[in-house]
Amino acid sequence: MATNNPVTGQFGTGNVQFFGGIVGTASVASTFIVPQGVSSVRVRVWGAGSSGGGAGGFAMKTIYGLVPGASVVVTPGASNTASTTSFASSFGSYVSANGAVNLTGATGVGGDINYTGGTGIANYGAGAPSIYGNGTSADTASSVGASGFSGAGGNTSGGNGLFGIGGFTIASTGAAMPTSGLDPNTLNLDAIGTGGGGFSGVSGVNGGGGANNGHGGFPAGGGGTNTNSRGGAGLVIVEW
Amino acid sequence: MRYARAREDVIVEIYESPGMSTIDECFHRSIACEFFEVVGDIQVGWTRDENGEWVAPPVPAQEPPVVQQ
Repeated sequence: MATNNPVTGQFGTGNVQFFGGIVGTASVASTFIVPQGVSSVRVRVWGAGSSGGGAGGFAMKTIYGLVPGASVVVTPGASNTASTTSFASSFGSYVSANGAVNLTGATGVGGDINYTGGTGIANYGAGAPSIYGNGTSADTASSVGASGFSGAGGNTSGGNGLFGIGGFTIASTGAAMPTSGLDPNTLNLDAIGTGGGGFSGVSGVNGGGGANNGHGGFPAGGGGTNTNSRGGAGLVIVEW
Repeated sequence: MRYARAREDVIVEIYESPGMSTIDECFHRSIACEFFEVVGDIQVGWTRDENGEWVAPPVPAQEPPVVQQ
């Protein structure tokens, strides 16, 4: 049965459109055309993570009173390769999420819920926020990313996300790559932004932070703050 | 239209709005208010000079060629 629950579960008839950000020096906008017979949509927005370590923001909003055939500008924030200021994502003027600036996590604005990306530290990127809450900040005390909604990057172990597991390398047992926490057999949008963090030189996944030269996981994860790392790009998801 | 936003007098983002849309139609007002319309060839990394004009950063001086002995 279709519902209009503004937080979780299927929205409307279950149609979904994704707008993913690029890796580059500027965001590329496109357009969402309100389908015939549709007057409300639910939108999830992640801003891009920074190569400097901060994670992008997150917001989610149900928008009513749309006119079929009308167009809305959609901007998924690019993962900036030119500086540590990353770019915002947006669904028109309705709801946006800022890109992270250097180590500092960014926030969502205009949503029914708005969450903040985690804060990075030198060499370790932070985790992205998700529908479940703020992203995880990198942990300087243990060099192991703390557990949270998306795991932060760490030295020998990345932090666990809410669903994904952080990667690790241990001399006695070997290494394991971080996991996304996404079930390939279902389209569970609520699990986006809940992945594990990377460890030294390994990228995070599904919003997890990267470590050292590892990238931040898509969407919105913070990069490992070294020259070769970059943040996870932004993402906009529209449901109706 | 072409917009930019700056932090500490340095351009950090250039945004090209699609079609004839304005920045207010592209971002929530709390973000849109940080952008300003620009014309010309302003790029990321440009800085504001003492006259308030946006100028390209100086080109780094080239190293003199090494003369083989």
